[in-house]
Order: sequence, then structure tokens, then C-alpha cells
Amino acid sequence: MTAAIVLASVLVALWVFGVDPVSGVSLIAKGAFGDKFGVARTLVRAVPLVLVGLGVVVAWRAGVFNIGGEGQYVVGGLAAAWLAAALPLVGPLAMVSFLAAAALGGACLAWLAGWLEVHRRVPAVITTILLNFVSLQALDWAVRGPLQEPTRQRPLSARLPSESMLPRFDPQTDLHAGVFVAVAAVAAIWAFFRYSHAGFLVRLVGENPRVARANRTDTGRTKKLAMALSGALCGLAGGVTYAGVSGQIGDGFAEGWGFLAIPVALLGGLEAWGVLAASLLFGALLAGSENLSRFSAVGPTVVYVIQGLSVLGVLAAFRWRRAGGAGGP
Amino acid sequence: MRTMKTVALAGAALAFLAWGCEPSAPEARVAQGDLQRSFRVALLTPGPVSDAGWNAMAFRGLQAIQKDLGATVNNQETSETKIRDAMRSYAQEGYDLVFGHGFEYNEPAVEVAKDFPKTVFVSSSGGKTAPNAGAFRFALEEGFYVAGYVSGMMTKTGKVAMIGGPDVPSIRSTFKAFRAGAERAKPGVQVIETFTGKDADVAAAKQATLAAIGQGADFVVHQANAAAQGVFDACKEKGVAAFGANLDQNDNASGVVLGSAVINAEPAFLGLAKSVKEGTYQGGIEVYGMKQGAIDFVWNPNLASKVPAMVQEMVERLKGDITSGKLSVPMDQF
Repeated sequence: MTAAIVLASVLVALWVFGVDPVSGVSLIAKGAFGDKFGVARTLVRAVPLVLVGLGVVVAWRAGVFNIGGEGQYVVGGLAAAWLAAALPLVGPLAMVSFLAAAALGGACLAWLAGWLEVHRRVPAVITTILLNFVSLQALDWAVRGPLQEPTRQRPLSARLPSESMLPRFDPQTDLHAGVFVAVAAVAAIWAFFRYSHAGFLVRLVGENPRVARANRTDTGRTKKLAMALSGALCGLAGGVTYAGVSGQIGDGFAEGWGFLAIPVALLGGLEAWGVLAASLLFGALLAGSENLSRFSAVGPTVVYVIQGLSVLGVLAAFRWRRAGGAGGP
Repeated sequence: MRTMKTVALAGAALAFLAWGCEPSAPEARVAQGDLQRSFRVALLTPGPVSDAGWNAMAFRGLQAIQKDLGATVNNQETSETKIRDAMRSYAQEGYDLVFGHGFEYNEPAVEVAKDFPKTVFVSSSGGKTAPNAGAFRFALEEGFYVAGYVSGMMTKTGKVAMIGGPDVPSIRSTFKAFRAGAERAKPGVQVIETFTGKDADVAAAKQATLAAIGQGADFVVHQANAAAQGVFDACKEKGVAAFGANLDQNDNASGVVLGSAVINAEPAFLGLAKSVKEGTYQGGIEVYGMKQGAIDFVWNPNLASKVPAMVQEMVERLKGDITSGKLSVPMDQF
């Protein structure tokens, strides 16, 4: 069903832009899975969506609305870049520490928002959105100040040596080892909710805080934990992009993954494996529409239009099904 | 709970919209050639190719390649962290030649070239090379030197100004040449130098120009690319003269452009593409200056009457000296 809606959105976008639907769809399909490059591209686009999407799931399941995935993603990238600048690490040790620093950075930022909600009653919806701006400003400052590359010519951090970047399976394709991180995270979050005590508490607090309190669960503590875990996943996404794709941070580093991941998480039914599936769908859509924008006359705007239409279409369908009461999602 | 959820969704939707609404200038694009196996050339530019300056000039080069060599061509605006990704995308599509129009493309080019030995990556300026990657260097300094000389000859206040976008070595180098030219004509001339730090901020360029004019400058040269209009508008407002850069901007509607330091990029782009098509490209850095016909300083015919004949004559002599190699213009390596 979802796939049909996405396809319909794509067709509407192509119609609006005046692109021949057959050539348009074939360009999208080729870019998404036409050859090994397309498949790799789809997977690479899906990786940050999976990680941030999982982060959104964890927080929302605890009843805290983390809209700050973007900021936590940026802070993750910043933390990794900062570590790379501060310590002369190389090889696998470097990769692991970049990812750890990224997760820690994101966790701290999200925990702050969680703390404000629990102890100062400031809704996380608001603080996380505002912290996005703080993070973007911090990025802006860092790449023109302490983290700027040594020649100080561009607003970019120094480029990681390729030995410190996540390995690629084939030097010509874009797929990097970060894809394993994403899959492992999906399995871990699934297991967290299904088997762990803490995961159970998170669900309990989110679904029925009164029952949780009646059972002497420290709901505040659980919420803060959920936010920290959520932020860690979003930060990790930034770290994976840094160490796997860009190798440096700069103005274009925040690509909106943190925002796109919210509809992805909803589309995935706030379930770990659902997020994986939704991320793959959107990864393919992104990779495909990038190819379309590059090799047809429509320009880059079409990427955003297709994305936006698909998200709206899918959400509307959800809503409609729920209102109709026919089973629900 | 339910309200919270609605608020959260609304917030998410707003944030998503805000991010999606990033302004993007309409982009000129070349039509698709056939998708058969043909010679394929891509151009990456730091700004929109509709800027009537640095980026437009490269786009003309690309169009010449399409026309004269029958190549399938494609262009994309890309910068900073996205450069490598764009280069890799074109190489993956089997493109034979990828131009990056700026020195910032040089390092990524050399690096990506390692993974894609069948594609040639060339950047406009930059110092690193590989067997399938290199750069060409437009000696725009020569044109700026002449412009500086003119400003030195003609300034009444003894103050001239240079307005740059981002503070990068390529722009610094042309400013250095402008300064040298001005000082050659009028030792002790005061040269005001301002960088707005941004590439397409018309308002910032205008403000910076107004400030420089406020300090007494009566000739303004720019390296503001897409924001050049801001410089010209400020000059018009205050009635001072400006110079165009990169492309012939003499016909700018403001009517203040006395002359332009131009790059004629087509021969360079075409020559390079030809050598790649014939398989003779070997990597390296090639310099294109006045001698190669790639750089010139052209007067605005409508304003020529305001320029003393003596100045015009001196400029011709200066250009002759640069072309013959008798005079070498200061130029930074980067």
C-alpha cells in the first residue's frame, strides 16, 4: 500500500514538473537500484535514516517527542570531527572512537532536553527544536574556528585520511561498513524493547505513565534514559556519515536527515524493523530522485517535491485508515 | 497526550517544511544528449551558472564542448561536503571528464581520481595532479592588473576598493595583482579590501561597497560572483565607476562598468576536452593567460569617451607587455 502511495506521489511530481513519466520513473529506478552503484547509493541513504529513525522511535515510545534528531546528528558529527582533530588516531581504533564520540555527543544533547522536560517541565518538542538551531550555529562556528582545516581557506574541517574512514566494499561504489552499524542497531533496539527490563519500562512509561508511577517506576529517570538513547542513535548517524561518507564536516553537513527520519519512524509504525523497511523505501526514493534531478531537465527541486509529497501521502493514508476504523495500521 | 502528539506532529511538519523551503535559484541546464555511449562531460560549479560571471563562463565552455565535440554534457551546482559525492556520481555514470570550477575541487578531484582511473577530473585552478587529474589556471591576475592600473591612473581621491565574496586564495591573488597595477600607476594609492565572506549575498556586497565608497573610494573592482549586482548598484547610487570581473559585464544595466577583466574560457575547456577525447590527456597544470588569448581587459564602448586617450594608449601598451612576457604580473600559487 505504502509503495503504491509513494509511486503515485512520484507520478504526480513528475506530472507537475512536466517530465515524461516513463523516462522519469526509469531514471528514478536506475538511480535507486539499476546497477551496483544505485543499490549502494540507496543503502547509503538509508543508513542515517535507520539510525535517526530508531532514535525517534525510542524517545516517542517513552512519550517524549524528540524533534531534535537533526541537531543531535550534527553534534554527533561535530564530536567525531573534534576527536579526529584532537587525537592522532588511525585505523579501526579511530573508526570506533569516532562513532563512540558521536553517540556520546548526541546523547548529551538529547539528555539535556529530557532533563529540562522532567525537571523543569519544558516540553521536549520545543527544546529539541530549539537545540537544532543551537547545534547548527555551533557547526557554523566550529568550521570557521577551531575545527577549520589547516589552510583556513574553506568552511570545512580537515579531511580524514582514508585509512581512518569506514572501509568501502568496492572503491567505486559508495557503500561503506556503516551499513552494518545500522543493521546492528535495528536488531539491538528490537531486542531492547522485546527482552530488556529497561525497554519494558520505556514502553510502560510511554503508554501509561500512571500505571508506571503506581508501580513505583521512576518515570523521569526512564524518560531521561530514553532521550539519551535516542540522542545517541541520532548522534551515531552523524558519526557514521562523517566517518563513512564525507570525511569532513561543513555547512552542508546537516542534510535534513533528522527531519526526514520522523516520518520514516512513523511510517515504520514506531517499530525497529518497520523503520528499517521505511528507511530502505526512502533511501531508494532519495537515490532515485537524485538521479532524476541530475539527468533530466527538472533540477534539484524535484528531490524535495517527491519527498514531501510521499511523506504527506503516506501520512494522509494512515490518517484516513484510522478515521475509517478499518483495522488501523 | 493526544494534544501533545498533535503538537509534536505539527512541529515536525513545520520543521520539515522549513527545511524543504530552502531557496534555490532557477538553474539553467543543458538539454540531454542521447543516452548512447558518447563522450560525456560534466561540470560542477560552486554557484548558479546564471551568474553572468565565474560560473556562467564555465557553462559557456561546457556548451562549446557539447556543440563542437558532440558530447553529452551535464552540469550541477555543488559545494563543500557534497563535492566528492557529485564527482563520484558522474564517474559511476561513466562520464569521461568532470570539470570542477574552482580551486576547492582540486583536492577532491585528485582523490576521487584514484578510484576512477577511466575518468579525468580537472579543476579550475589548484596545484595537485594525478595521471587522470589536473587543473587549469586562468591568469585572471593579468586582467586585474590592467584594471588596477586604470583605476590608479584615473582615481581622483587616491582611493580605490576591492570587494570580494569569500576570502579564498584565488580571489586574494587577483586582488594582489589589482593592487600592484594601481600602485604602478599611482604610487601610494590607498587600496581598500573587503571580503563579505559569502558568495551570493547581494545585500552584503552592496553594504561593503557603500562602506568603501564612504571611505573615499572612487573605483571599485569586485570578485563577488553572483553578488556582483550589489557592487554595481552601490556604485550607481554613489556615482562611482566599477570594473567587471570574469565575464564581460560592461553591459550591466547599472551603466557603471568602465571595463571588465575577462576570462575567455572556451578555448581552454575545448582544448582540454579534446585531449581527453583523444586519450592524450596526461594530468598536470596548464596556465591560460593573455598570451593564450584566455584573458583580456575590455573597455565598455559606451563609456570609452570618458577615458582619456592617454590612459587607453597606456593600457594597450601594458597589455602588449604582458602578452609578450616583458611584464610578469604577480600571481600566487595555490
